[in-house]
Amino acid sequence: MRPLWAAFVLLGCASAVPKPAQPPAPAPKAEAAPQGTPDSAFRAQPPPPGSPVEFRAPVPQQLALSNRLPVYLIERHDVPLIAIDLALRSGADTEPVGKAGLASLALDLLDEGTPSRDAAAIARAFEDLGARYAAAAEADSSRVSVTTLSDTLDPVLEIFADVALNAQFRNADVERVRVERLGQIAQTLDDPQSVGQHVLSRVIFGEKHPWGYPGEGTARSVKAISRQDLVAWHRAWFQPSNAALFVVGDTNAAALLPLLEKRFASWKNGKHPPAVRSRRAKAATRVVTLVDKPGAPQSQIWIGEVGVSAAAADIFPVRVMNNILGGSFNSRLNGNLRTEHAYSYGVFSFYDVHREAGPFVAAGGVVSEKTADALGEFMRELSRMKSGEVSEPELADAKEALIRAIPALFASNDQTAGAYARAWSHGLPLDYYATYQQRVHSVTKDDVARAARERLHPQNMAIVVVGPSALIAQRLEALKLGRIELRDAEGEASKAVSAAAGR
Amino acid sequence: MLFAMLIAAAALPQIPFEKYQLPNGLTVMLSEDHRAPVVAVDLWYHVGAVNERKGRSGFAHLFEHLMFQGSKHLNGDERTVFAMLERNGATNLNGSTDWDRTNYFETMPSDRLELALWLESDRMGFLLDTVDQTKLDTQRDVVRNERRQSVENVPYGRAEERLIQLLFPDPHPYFGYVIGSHEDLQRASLDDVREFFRTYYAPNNAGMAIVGDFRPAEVKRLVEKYFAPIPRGLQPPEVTAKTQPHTKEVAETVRDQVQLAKVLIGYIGPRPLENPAPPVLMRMLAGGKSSRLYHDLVYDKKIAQDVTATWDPAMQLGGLIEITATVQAGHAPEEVAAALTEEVKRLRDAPSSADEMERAKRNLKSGLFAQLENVGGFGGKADQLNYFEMFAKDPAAFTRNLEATLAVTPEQVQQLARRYMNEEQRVVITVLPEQKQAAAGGNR
Repeated sequence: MRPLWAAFVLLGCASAVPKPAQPPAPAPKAEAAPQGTPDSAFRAQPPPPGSPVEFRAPVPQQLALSNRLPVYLIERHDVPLIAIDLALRSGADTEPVGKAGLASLALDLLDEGTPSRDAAAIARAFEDLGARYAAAAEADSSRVSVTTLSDTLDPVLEIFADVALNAQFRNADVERVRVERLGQIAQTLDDPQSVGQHVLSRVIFGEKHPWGYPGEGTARSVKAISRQDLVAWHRAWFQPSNAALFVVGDTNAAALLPLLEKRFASWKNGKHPPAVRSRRAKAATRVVTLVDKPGAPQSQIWIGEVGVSAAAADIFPVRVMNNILGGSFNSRLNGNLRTEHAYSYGVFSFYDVHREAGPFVAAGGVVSEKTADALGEFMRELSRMKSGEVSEPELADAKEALIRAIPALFASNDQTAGAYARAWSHGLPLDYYATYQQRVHSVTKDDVARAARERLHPQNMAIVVVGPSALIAQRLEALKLGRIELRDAEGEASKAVSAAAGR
Repeated sequence: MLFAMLIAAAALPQIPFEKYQLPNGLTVMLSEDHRAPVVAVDLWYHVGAVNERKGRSGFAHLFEHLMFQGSKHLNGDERTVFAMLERNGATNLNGSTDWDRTNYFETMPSDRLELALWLESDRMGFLLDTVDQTKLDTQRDVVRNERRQSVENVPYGRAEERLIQLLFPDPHPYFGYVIGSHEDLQRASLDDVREFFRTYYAPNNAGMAIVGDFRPAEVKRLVEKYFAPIPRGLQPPEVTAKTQPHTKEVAETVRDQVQLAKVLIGYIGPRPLENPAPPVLMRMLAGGKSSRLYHDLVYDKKIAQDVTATWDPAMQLGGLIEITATVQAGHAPEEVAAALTEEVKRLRDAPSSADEMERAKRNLKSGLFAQLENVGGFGGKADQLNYFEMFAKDPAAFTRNLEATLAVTPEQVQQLARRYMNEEQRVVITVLPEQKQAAAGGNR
């Protein structure tokens, strides 16, 4: 579908908002409108806030089924909808070397067949009830979710539980979904933004770590996944002891629990899943990885390193710091590369946080002609941030923005369920959102400076550029940021071209 | 059946509202919603690509960017404007330009609503005080980057643009695909900016929806204070462009840096609110895994990677109906095109089953409920009020339109297909991979 053309985008960025007002400058005199609006004194300054509104993030009731499957419930009765999330504390992190995409393929196959229904019957059953079903694996968690009208909770739960617990992974379905997945991967390789992201992950996490590969896997790894792998994965990780249910919407504990009990109580724990070990490669010396996209009018620049974990002691200073750096429209990075230099439609930075440290990323698309200049500006802003120098207005604005963006996380039932499912997956306490604003509030300038100094390592950050090599390779080399290494769109070292620009 | 009855009895999605007009012609729509301490402010200016003159494609959108560059009392550039909003907790803030309208929106904490009104009234009343050549030049470059990022450097981006160009040939105002061409963007001048602002950015050419946690009496006072002094503008000129119906199929092949071929079929469908059947038909064709195209092409024949079917409800010169399918590796685009053609023919030849109609309607309704959980942002309550005000001059048309959609008969769906979706009325674009060897479909 055709997108609307918008004033800006912030891509893949979890946090919201931003930064300082400029000192009032004298307005340049341009000609007035033919019948101009009369000026008034009250327009001269922005109006002060009204009486502050206190926002309290909803805290779920903690319930449990007879098999000890935890259930977290938030009642909201304004709309006749209920959102249900079944969260698992396992995702791509459990994938063996060479089987990237296993978790997400397993999640994709849940609604492709159970003992009593084939894929078409499942789709029809959900859609007959107007229910919206989705399932996806993430870096270290998985979620199966459904939104239903409250009238049809019971029949929807029956299908939902059937799909989540009884998936069959029949050969014909596995093969069909595998072909679709290979098609998706091919499409992803055509998209320079995804290529930048994936190749950066490979460089940061290496060949041996599951996070070094795209969540959907690679053509090679997806072909290597067998039906047995899928069945074993589902059996190992889909266990009540590794799961929790999140329910948000138009129901209550008395009505809900018997319905859940009926569908989920027979779900038993099997062998306890083995512990997952991280296998991240040691950081190598910095190289600039170039993925050639001949003739591309834009280059994608992706810069990053290993970031922080969700439960890190300094996670809130880190969030404030990132907000100033590239976490909002008005961040230093976007202000520099878009507003000052007009190299880009928009650039951003984010910390992808999980139970373990995910990547820190600073990225964006820039006009090919200016690739080297833009990369130089990225590095300048990263170094400036690392110096820890932050102004009072920057700090105040970033904190205010993070604090005030919290209510929007709970706008809809499914967003609310998702927010808590994520927090639970990351091992965060139930009062995480209720105390979030206070924890942002108490971040000091020193905290931010320390976070910047300790967490950012621009000298060692991996750099990936997806763009027209013929135009940009020499100029990138002249920046002397590191050896230029060529890879293909899948992140494999590219022999054919490495002689041309490599060294 | 039992469930069907249960759902039929459930309430329909609703948006209670109060509408009034200021003497200067600004239409104001208020809708209280106290679920969260936030208020959405959403202004729709009734101007879009449809109003661009020849040689100025992309201008309405470029102008939208300039609305974020400050105004008399918020002097600065886009950083100043976004900073002011974001620092005060605005979420879901943006602007967007469409074929026929341009909107500006933000969701504020309830105690900061006045700030949004101050800002929106300042750019409606005092934009030209601070626009200058530097801002124009910078945003021109930003927009050209947006074009590179969203059309030129994205898989199938140019094919989507080409489909529009063939359906609405030059000099039709939709020809420019809203984003416009580099050449036309280069031509835009400060004089164009001033003229466009004076012609289209007047209170009498706009609607403002305010939805959320507020007290109506207080909001009315604030709206009066900030917006009433802005003088009414001249009546904007009528849109005179006409859409020529297609009477002969147009087919074109486009090469792109992609690995999988894709087939795009476009038709010129009904105008906004002209016909209630398109959402039902589109849902039936490609909404969900039980839909006809998914079931036939993806699940059964396994010749397509993915399928879509959409109707654009906001094009006054004819709403684009677009059907797409990405060709599965190892299959030919001709196979997929033939299957799509056959499915559309089936729609024309026979009415759909009652069962299928019910499923489509139920999903439309539950989807709408979910959409209305949001006060602001794309498709939220404020957007809905503005849409129906713009195209029906009455936000209550939301309910009438929903009722009409839920009452659509199989015959109406069939008639829709027969009237708008014939082969001689369509444009077919086949996207082929640029390199021959990749065309064979490398992933098998």
